[in-house]
Amino acid sequence: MNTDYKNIDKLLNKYFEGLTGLEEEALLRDYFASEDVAPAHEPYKALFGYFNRERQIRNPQRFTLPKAGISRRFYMAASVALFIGLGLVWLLQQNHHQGFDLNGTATHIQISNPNPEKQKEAGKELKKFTRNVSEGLDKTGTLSLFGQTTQKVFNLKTTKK
Amino acid sequence: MTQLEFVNTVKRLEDKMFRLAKMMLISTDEAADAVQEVFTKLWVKREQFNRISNTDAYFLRTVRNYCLDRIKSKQAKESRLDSISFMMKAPSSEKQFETHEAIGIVEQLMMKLPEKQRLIVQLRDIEGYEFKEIAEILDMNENAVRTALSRARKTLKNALIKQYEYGLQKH
Repeated sequence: MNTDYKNIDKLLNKYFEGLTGLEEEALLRDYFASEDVAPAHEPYKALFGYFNRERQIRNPQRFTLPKAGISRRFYMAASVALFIGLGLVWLLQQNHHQGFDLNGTATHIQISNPNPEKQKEAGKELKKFTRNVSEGLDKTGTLSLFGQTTQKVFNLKTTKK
Repeated sequence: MTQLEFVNTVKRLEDKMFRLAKMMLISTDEAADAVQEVFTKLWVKREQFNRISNTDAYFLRTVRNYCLDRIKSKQAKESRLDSISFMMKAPSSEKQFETHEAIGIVEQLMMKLPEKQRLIVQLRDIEGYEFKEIAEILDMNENAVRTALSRARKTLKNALIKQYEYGLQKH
């Protein structure tokens, strides 16, 4: 203990003269961090305690690397390409909708009568229907004449009574 | 210097750089901002670092120069004075030599040292740099560093002995 104390004493004198090396200063650091500090060295305990405390201080803001110029340019080019791409898709959709509206009727006829033979048959049926309707109308003409004459006959009979 | 080498240097030095900046600017926020600014500047110039012999000294000298510029600006000066006056508030006299109080006294004594001496003590006793490196960081010669360090340590020693005797008399 005595030898240690003397050594430390010498080291401390060297230390305050600025003549100690880093290894010797590490010995002093260990000595003052221990529980066996001699009363004569007590005033310097706080000095080494302060150095030790300061050594523990850490930077609160960890440094992050700035993004490289190339990748920033890449992101910009990619977003422009994406914007143009989306614009093109939107334009194509708009054109498609307009074509559908203009040709909508034709599309519907084509869908309901896709076969030309069936179209002819449908035409014949339509003609037959119109002929029947006109014949029916002619018949209604003779019916109305029949109604008029029967009415006249009934009128004569009632007046005679 | 490659990106990986730069990242490794940042990891190794960022706390040392922060502590040096804090010793000069006092304010934690100012010191952290200073370190960010310096790293960003150095990152841009990293391709020139191959010619630098001592990266530690170069990085720390850049922080020191940046902080000197900040101290010159009025805004930083005001914030620094506020922090110093906050730190210089006297501790309670009864418990002066209980460990944490005693460390607070050393902190106050450090603040009373001339700036160059304070930085030399910081770089030697806290960061553990050789005299040659300290001389490079602070643009001084090695002998001047030794002399200033010895003066600073003796000032601290005498003040601590006084404080200790005063504490014994109180008890």
